[in-house]
Amino acid sequence: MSALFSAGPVREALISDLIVVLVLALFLAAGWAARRNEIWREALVGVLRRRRYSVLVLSLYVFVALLDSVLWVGGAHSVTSTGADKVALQEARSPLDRAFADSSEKSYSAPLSRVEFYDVSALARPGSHVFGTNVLGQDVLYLTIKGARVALLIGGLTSLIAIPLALFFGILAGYFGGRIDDVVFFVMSTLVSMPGILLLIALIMALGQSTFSVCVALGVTSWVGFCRLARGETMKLRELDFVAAARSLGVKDRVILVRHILPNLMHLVVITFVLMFSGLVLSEATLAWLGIGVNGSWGQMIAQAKDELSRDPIVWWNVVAAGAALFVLLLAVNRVGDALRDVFDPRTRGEKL
Amino acid sequence: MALEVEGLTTEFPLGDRRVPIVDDVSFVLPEGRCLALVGESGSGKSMTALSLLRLVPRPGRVTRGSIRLGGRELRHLSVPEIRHVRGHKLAMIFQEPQTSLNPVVRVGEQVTEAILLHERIGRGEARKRALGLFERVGIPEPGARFDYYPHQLSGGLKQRVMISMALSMRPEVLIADEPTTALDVTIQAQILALLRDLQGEFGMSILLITHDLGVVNQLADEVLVLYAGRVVEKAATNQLLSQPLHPYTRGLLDSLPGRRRPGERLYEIQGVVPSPLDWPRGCRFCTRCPEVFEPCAEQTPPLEAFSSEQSAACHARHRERPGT
Amino acid sequence: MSDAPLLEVTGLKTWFPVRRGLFRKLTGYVRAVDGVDFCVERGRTLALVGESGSGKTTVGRSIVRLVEPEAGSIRFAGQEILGLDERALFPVRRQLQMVFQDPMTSLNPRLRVLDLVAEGLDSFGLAKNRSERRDRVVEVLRRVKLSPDHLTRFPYEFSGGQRQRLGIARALAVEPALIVCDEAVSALDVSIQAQILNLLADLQAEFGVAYLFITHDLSVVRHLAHQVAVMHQGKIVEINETAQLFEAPQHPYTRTLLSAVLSLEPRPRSS
Repeated sequence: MSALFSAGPVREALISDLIVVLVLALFLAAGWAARRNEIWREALVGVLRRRRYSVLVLSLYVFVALLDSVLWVGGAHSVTSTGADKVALQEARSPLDRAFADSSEKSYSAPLSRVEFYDVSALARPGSHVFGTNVLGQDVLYLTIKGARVALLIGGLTSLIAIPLALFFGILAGYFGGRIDDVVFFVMSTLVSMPGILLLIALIMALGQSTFSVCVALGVTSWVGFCRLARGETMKLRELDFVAAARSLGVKDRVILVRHILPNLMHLVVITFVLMFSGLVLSEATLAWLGIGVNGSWGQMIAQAKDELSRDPIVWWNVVAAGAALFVLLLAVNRVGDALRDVFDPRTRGEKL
Repeated sequence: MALEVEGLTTEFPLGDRRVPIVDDVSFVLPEGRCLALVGESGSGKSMTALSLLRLVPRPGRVTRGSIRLGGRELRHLSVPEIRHVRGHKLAMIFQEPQTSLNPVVRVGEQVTEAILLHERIGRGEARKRALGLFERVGIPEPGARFDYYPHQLSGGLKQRVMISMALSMRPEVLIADEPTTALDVTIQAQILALLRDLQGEFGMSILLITHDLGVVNQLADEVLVLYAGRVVEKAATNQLLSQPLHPYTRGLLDSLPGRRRPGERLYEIQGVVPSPLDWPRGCRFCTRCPEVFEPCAEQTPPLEAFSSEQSAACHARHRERPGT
Repeated sequence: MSDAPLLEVTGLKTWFPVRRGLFRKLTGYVRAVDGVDFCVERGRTLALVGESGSGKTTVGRSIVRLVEPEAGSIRFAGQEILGLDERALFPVRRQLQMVFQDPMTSLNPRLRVLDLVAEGLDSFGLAKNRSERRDRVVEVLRRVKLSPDHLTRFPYEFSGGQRQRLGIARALAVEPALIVCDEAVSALDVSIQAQILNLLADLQAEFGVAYLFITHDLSVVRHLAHQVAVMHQGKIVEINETAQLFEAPQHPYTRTLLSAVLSLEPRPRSS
């Protein structure tokens, strides 16, 4: 039993599976809430209608990422060309890992090639590598697909850190004003006045290089924009008559914040989440270029490919696969974000009537 | 120059239908007179004005009818031509003057620019004329106010600036869309008096758009009552106020607190203005009308003249007077 | 005790500080309300009339303590409420409600009718359980002539007049003794305005609620107010019974206001 709680592949698998369950539960809860509330349902239907393909693409990414997060230990394939089954037996692996378990070659091979790129020896699995293989002989398609999980993890986890932080301070500063506002504003100005990339590097150095610390660093440097928006919006809402009505009914500030202010900011949260997401994934790519990114990200693949691009003949499939995956994700996210903004914009909302 | 509008129809796509927000509106505004378009929100009165100027917001479109100014058809003019008409013949003032003034340019400068747009005169001459207009529209200390920014002026003064800007082009027709609704009562009386004086002095026609029958009584010679996009009654102002024919007009007048003894119950027009998607097939007022009978729900009543200065679109008028 | 007016305001001053410059130095005050006295009797209507900037809205907001007055006295049902802190004020708030001008911004767009109207019931703990809460909301909706089918709808599904009824229902739900109506019918269409004015009159007859009716519209004032107070530049220049004020205005400003009322009588026109 204690094996479950000590660090190791079993615990790693359990945590990852738990996250999958949580994310699925979150999706279900959001869907259920949207079904019950006409305002959200209309928004959801509006986005689906306007951006059918983008939503489809995003769903595909999310599905692949979740698939890659369902981990369990054992059940390794017994027949492998490299004899790696012993190690594999001990590792927590996803269905994706299992599907590509014996796809390794010795070194580079071009997409769908039957021979190796440089020494022209025969491949173990000729013609099966759609995007070719990299320097270590790993299948590039496999790495690219695995990158989806990393990208969504970076975007999701960072937003989960940054948005609540921004919302909390933004609402407090906007609603109570005065000293609280001064302090929050001072912190925000201080953060903004530092060069972002330097602050990021410093934070990652201080926290140690891990997926989580990269997310924390990105979160700390990216919450200011939304905090300012939330603060301004709260100040506007605070002056509206329905807040005055609540106050004249003796409703406590705490209740006003939860009942009247927060729900009227939720559409901004959704829009910000989506638009921030693409910025975060891109920031990680920048960090990866500087050598402090997250393991297995598309940014890292691109960074590693910079040497390959100068080889002769050129090894291009690595960077193209990662770049294309990144591009398609960001395009879909931005298009959905655009549609969301339209759906929630009171001016375009009014146009229906 | 007279403004003649006939069968004007402006449609908006709504759901999978096209709904006539302005439906077959006709009127003649003779030179030097004032005609009022009266209605509640959603009656299509503002959309009628915007249709005249070809300023209907997308995706709406004028689909039928003719708009003639001094005999010239405006509906099929090219964009530069209609812009020229808007600049020289038809001027418009709005309910919220601050939204039509540039907040970062001094008001005197804005009026000077407007004059320079229309006339080939020097800047100094234009400034002098603008100053004259400021004086004419009753801005106190025009010399000092000339260099103010819009936000430094009160609502009434901003509306006076807007009027001076409209006058600068010496328009044939002034379209005034709720010109006093945002103003205080004492200021409202002043602005209405000013418009009346200017009308005589410049010989222009005024198309007044308002929901306020008190304002109509101050300014208008003739009134068009609009309900759900259609004209329900057309009459000389005094005739309309003393003997309204259409049940809707009567209801509007009876629901005004000023016409009842204090404390007495006000007349209520039942229900609410229906959304364009729920407009009845026949008379659009039939769902709220106290005099409704069989033909109302099915047949659209035509606008019929009951005297030389009064017409109404109502089936019930025939039931009362079967001979006519 | 029963002779004492429901609301007695004396020497009310509400000033807004004007701060300028880098260190937000206090450079002066805008004297929005500058020494105002009046009374509102139980079950009666006092109209507060004035133009924009006269301070009439600030008087209303000072009384329900949405803004903090500078000086003076507000006695409500014999109790001084001006010095009270929010905790001590809490039981008084139930008696003192407000209806706002703009039915668009006075209703939270994210709340359903049930939760919106029940806001006061929740705040003061007036409903013991969910079914009682619901019953009381249905009852108050019936009073303002809205159907109980509307309970699960959102404000945007209603017309302007219906929204104003919701605002009245929200105030009415806690059974107040005084409702401050701040331009409550000014944003409404004429035919809808008549419906709301009749409703307000019915509610007064039925529940004996008093109104402080803040407006710029003199014909509405003449119609429903028992007493009128005319405000000009932060002060009350004249206060009298409605009929007397309209027949024999004393103050020149009152006369200016009355002369600006647009008549609906047919008048001679040039042809």
